[in-house]
Amino acid sequence: MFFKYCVTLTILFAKPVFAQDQANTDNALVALPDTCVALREGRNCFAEVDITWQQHNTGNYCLRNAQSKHIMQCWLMQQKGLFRYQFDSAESIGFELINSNNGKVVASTEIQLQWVYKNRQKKRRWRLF
Amino acid sequence: MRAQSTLFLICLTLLSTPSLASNRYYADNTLEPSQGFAWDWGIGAGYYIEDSYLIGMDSYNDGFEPDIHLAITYNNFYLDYDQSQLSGGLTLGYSVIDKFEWGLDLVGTNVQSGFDDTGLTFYGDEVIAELEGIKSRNYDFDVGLRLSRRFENSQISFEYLHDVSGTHNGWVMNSFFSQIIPWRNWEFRSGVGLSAYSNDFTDYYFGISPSESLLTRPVYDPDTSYSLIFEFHAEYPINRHWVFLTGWLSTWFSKDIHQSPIISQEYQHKAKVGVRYVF
Repeated sequence: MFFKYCVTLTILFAKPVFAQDQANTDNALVALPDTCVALREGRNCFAEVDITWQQHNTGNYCLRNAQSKHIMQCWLMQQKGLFRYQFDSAESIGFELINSNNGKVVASTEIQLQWVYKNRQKKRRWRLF
Repeated sequence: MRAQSTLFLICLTLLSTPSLASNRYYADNTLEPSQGFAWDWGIGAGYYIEDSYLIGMDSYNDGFEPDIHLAITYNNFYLDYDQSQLSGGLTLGYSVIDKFEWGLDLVGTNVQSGFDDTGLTFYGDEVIAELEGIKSRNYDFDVGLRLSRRFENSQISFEYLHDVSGTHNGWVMNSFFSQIIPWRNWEFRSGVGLSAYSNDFTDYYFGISPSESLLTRPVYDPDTSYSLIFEFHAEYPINRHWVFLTGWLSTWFSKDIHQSPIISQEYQHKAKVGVRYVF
């Protein structure tokens, strides 16, 4: 009996959460991979990143760099899109999807930069291994 | 030995002044160097294949070896310990002058690996017949000055070091040209060096004393010797913590070393691949 109550409650509570997730997926801007790892702090990191977006409504959208506001690509009367981006930076970069009719940001994402070595005075003698 | 080491550390402390530029052998001078305290440490393992110069050792020795590394910078001081190096690879340094792309460093380091009748002590405890009866050669610790000139991603260095451990009480002079080439997320490092070793150094490691001599191992009294070194190393970040490493090291020795009865050839090669976890 207790098990039945648990199952019923789980289903009741699970439904709205699922709906919310669905809504997020529908209005999404996703970068994959969303992290780039450089060997040393301060050095540029390179990665080929797929930036995909999708919206509830068909419309005119543009993808831009969140820091420089540089427009990277626009789509006319589309509901989803893909932009293949060559990441080459020593800093994390944010991206925004804007509705080009009113300039409002409808979704955003970021490619984060990480590094392995923080000490930038690496010293090696000739016997490396 | 202890008194000398303490004196060296006191000297380093007294000479402490702020420095901004990179002061190590391999330096990517396009990067802004770390300020104040910075450190990295990690552990890993690698597979090596080696053609050693020591007599009686397999021409193609291979196996797995651990890799512990620590790199610390504190203002002008730096300390590196890299167990992926055969020699143990401990280096202490202090940047005395760092101006106009020139650097003068006080350094303390191990130059030569120790060995005994089991070969290079790293490899185990089985006595090698050809080396049986030789006295143990200890690891040395040498202290001295390094003058270096930096370019964008390369560096040339000259060193004069003297043993302070009492192992051989000789000198070592090194010259080394190094280059770092980043390509996408890879880092390629290459270097070529020429070293000269004093009579005392060469005699301690490669000489044969009357008490060690046999019919098949005559007394050997070498003079000053030289070696030429080439290395290539590559690193690639697999993710935030894991690094893939690979490298090649070749050393060629002058006749005073390779004519020693305990040395089988005038060169030594070693190649390695491995991974390292950086905390």
